[in-house]
Amino acid sequence: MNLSIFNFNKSIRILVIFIVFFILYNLFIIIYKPNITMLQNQLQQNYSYAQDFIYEKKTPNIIVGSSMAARMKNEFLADNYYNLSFGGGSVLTGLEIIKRSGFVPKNIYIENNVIFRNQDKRMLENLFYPILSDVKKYVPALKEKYQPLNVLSSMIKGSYGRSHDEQMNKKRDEDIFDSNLKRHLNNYNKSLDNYDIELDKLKNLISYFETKNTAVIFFEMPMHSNLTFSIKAKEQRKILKENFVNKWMTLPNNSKYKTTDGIHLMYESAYRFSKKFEKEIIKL
Amino acid sequence: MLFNSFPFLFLVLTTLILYYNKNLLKYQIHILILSSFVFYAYGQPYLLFLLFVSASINAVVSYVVYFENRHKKKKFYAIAGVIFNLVVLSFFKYSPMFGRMIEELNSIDGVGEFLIAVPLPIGISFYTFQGISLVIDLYRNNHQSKCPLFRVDKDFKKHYVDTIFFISFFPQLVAGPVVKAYQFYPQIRAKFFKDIKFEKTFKILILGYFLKMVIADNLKDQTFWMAYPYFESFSSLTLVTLLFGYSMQIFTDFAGYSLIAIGIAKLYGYDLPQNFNYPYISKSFSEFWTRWHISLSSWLREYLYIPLGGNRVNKTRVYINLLIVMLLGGLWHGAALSYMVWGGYHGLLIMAERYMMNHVRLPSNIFIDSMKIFLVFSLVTLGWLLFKLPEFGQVLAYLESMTSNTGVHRKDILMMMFFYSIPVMIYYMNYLLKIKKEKNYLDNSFIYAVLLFFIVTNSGSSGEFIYFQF
Repeated sequence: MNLSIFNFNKSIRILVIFIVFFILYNLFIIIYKPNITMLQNQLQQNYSYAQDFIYEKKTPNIIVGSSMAARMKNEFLADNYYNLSFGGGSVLTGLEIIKRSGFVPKNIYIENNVIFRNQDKRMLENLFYPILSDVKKYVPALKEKYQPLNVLSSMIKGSYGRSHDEQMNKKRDEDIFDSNLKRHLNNYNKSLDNYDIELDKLKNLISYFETKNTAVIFFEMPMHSNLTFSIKAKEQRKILKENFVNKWMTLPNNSKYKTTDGIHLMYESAYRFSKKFEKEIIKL
Repeated sequence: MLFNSFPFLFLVLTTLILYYNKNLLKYQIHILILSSFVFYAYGQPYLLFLLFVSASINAVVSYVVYFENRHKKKKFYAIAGVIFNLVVLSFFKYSPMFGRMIEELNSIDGVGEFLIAVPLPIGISFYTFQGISLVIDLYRNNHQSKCPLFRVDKDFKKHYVDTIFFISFFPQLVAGPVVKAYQFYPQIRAKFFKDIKFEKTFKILILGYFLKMVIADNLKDQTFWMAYPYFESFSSLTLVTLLFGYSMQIFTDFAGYSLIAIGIAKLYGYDLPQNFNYPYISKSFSEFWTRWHISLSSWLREYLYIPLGGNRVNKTRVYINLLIVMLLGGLWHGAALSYMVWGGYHGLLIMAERYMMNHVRLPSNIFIDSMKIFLVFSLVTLGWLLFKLPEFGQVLAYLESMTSNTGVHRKDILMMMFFYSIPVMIYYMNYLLKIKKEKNYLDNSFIYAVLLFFIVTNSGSSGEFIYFQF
């Protein structure tokens, strides 16, 4: 191989400038510790929550679930709880992340509104990619949360983002609610499709944690009353009761909560339910 | 294997080390073929066999076409070669579509099910078109031509290896650029490490990865909301912005991919044709097609439009030819009616434009030119809806939601679209300035270092290239 170093000169200059930028940006994050209040999209939010859990927040109580449970924001919950629920994601992904992180929590709370959704293999692969996942622990600029655009948009979010009070008073769009509820009713009144693989995975994961003395508890997020007793919801409950002897949190009183679309709690309701959840779950 | 994955990086580096090893110089093509097979088999190992068979048959047919002296037989072999490629393409690409039709009609038991199960080999649209290009190029330029575009070695074994290499060369195997035989074969010779233009290659790769990983992949996570039924919940402005974002996404995704392919090929000493030339500054639809997916549009022009008569026939026939080419070009993209409609839509736009240009002469000034660019961009962008939403009903529903303005206004989406569109706009503005001032303001190490910084720190979730599905 005939290496001509002169050919590389400008390319090396690009690399050197890049390395300087990269080091400076990492130092900025480490020293300034920017508060990230805005992430660009749902997927990034999922990755960010997962990375926060893997690298930092190992709390004794962990919630796993779908976008429905994800409405209980970590800010609503006490410090000893961490919500590892993912928008568009599944309980199985959350459980697998806890398992692969090597951490054994005291309690795991499983949302069972959407229990038989596939594991997100790509997400798991990306989160636990050999070497890179270890590097991310020490190089914050590589974490999704600290993408420059997240840092920038979090800084300027105040100029247009809604405050907690504004969110609490937000009104529901009734047209959107009606059309989404109709669609969900249609889906929930169909029988469950094949779920054997997911059920087996769930059994394995629960039994893994139980052998490590973790208490696994099921709970349901409030949703529209017509959906709570729909065909799919009833079937899910039946399957879980037949296959698991774990404790259950009492079904929530749906009439006390409002959803944006029939299944996802509005901000204010999610806030109240989070507080209720903490109180109820302690009794079990 | 994705271009932005670690296995791909490993493959490229390993291949480079072996490729430029002094003791292995005479096996350079074999090394690239082996790497290309590994690249292809990584995702669909069993379909490597089809790629191999297709390339082998093209090697045999093209060799026979090139050395056959009798014109009739030569033509017969050439037609057979083209038909073979079209049959392979049609069977694997369109069987599931016909299968679904048969299933709906419920006419023949089992047939529909069988056709639906036919797998779609990745890159089949690209490598079969390259096979057709080889056969036609060698039919037009045989061994007796005085000024052939390129020559074929008399030694069949060498031609066979060259053809397998041409069809399977991994940087362009799965999503182009569609390389024509006459562009590639003359480049096949020993390559040396010292000849690599590192600076240029490095910059092409940085720009390609930036467009794909930073812009397209991040926009992808926003345009996710364009899917049914989510779009029904958004305001008109949000929906228009999403559509604009998708237009940016599809450009940066495919232009980024093409640049990466061109850059990787350069590492091995091969020049692939330019595939994008700032398409969104086109002042007409016919200009757009000389700037968007150039390798495909030039392929369609050379191997379909001109053989149909091109511009040399009467006016009505020219219009018909244009429509045929655009309809087939649309269908090439996917086995669904929406792709054909998309092709037809572009065909009609080009026809209308041609008709207008024959009857109305507009002055050329900055205002008129800007209006033309805006109009072309808007209508092209509107056409991308047919790419994004697979069903007509959904396209119509999207348009309806866009005009009714009943849903939620998503400021976060607007802001992200704005942020990620800025670099694309700068990219285009720099091009316009480059034409006017003859200076490339972005061509300096600092800018490329910034792009690299964003690739490492601000990439979106890795997604497949949009054009992989074609």
